[in-house]
Amino acid sequence: MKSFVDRVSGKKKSADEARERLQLLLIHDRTNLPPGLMDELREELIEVISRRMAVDRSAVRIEILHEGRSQRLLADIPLKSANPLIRR
Amino acid sequence: MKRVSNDLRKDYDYILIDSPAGIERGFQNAIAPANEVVIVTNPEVSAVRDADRIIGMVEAEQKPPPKLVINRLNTEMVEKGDMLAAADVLELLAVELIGIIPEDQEVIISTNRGTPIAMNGKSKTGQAFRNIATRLTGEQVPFLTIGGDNGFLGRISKLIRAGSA
Repeated sequence: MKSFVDRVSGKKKSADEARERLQLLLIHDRTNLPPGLMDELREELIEVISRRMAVDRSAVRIEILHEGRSQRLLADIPLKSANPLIRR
Repeated sequence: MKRVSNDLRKDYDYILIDSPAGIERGFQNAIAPANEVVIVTNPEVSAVRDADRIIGMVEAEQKPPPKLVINRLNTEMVEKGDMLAAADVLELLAVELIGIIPEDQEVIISTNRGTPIAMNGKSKTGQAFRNIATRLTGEQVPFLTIGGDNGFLGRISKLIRAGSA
């Protein structure tokens, strides 16, 4: 009954807000990365890989994935063309 | 702590070490000799956040994954959408659930009298405490229906099944 009123008024349940706030807080607490680190890491990865392969710089994405309590660093590094992949 | 616990180990099957609340130094001392860690949290934002940090510290100490007790769960508030459900807390913390204690005035009354509520055979809350003790011995006990809300229990059991699969 109340949930119907809430839905009509568009008011969010406080428990839902608690859950959303915690999701953000816990990701922040668990990774505890200094600001700018992901950008630096991205640049360094591009630099290392570019020594050997042509990387499509602007399309490189790195992010941290959370699965339960474990975390995973995912780097998606598209290469420029299929042809002269290997340098030197 | 380690020395005291090792002396006691010879004479007792179970030694319970009650850690000070929070994430200060006392907690590190308390878990130093522990073979198993049980974390008790209320379904509130600041408590769940602290519990998550504690779980991280337990993992860093190379202890087995801690088990979780959700304390003072108010079913009415959960039904109104004003309190995190047990399933929400479990999903956020991603550890094994070992018990849910409902919020119950009888707990205060029994501590006033100095008789643990676990000794009260008629109390559902007492039953919840006894179930935790039984689960700690390694026996499987089904979770109690708190407040008789099917959706609530269904969500928990679904989550547990998903976790064990």
